[in-house]
Amino acid sequence: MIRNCHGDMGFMEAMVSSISVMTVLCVYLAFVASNIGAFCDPLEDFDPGSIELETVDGISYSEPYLYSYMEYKTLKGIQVDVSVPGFSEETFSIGLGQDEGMEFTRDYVLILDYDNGRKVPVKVEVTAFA
Amino acid sequence: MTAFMDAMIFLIVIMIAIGTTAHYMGSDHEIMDPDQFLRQLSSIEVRLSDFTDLEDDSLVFLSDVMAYSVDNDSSVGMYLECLLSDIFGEHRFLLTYTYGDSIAEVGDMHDYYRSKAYLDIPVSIGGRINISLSIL
Repeated sequence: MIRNCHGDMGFMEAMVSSISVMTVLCVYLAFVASNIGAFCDPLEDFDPGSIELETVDGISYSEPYLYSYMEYKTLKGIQVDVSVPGFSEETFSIGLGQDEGMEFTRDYVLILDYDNGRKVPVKVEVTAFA
Repeated sequence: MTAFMDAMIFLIVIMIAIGTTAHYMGSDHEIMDPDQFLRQLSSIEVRLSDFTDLEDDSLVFLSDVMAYSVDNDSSVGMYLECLLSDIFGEHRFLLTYTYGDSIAEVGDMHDYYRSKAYLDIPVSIGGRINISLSIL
């Protein structure tokens, strides 16, 4: 590590610098590659209306849409939490497939029929496991 | 020395790139548009006895109960607080509604808002209720 009168170390300095640059670049690329899935949200095309949620006399729903959406987006699993804020403390959960992997969550608010002719906001929280 | 300086500049650029990447990967909950929420609010129908002391089970729009509650005792404010907290998060909204000369507020976020929407709805008991919603 002998420096010349300008403080340069010549070939040695160039090698050390290029190695450090390449190492950091490789780490960054590995980081991006391992998280590339996080950039595309699998719930982008999700249509909460297609679950055909019904909140009169308990909560009912249609499973086929959830299964077909899981297949279409090649998801490991999907979870739907339904709650009626202000009217019911309970949260109704629908879980299909596995609940592991990268999580993506979106909230939707639907106005649905409820007890005795009421039409109230229902919060639908959808979590996709990719 | 020049090569070291170049390497340092490159490392700073990479750090900025990592920061930007991590920011865009953050699992941000998409927050509902306040304008969309107000439009939905105008279609909510409840029983009059749900939020008032009146012994009347007739179906009414929530906006009618809100107009009634401006000058009368009712629990519609608590309901709206519960609903908005669930959708936008606690202390992240301010709902203001005006009926006649009276104003009512739900929420405690007065200082700064990211998005604001207004809606003017006719009320069945006469007049119009003006609702504004600010969210953080």
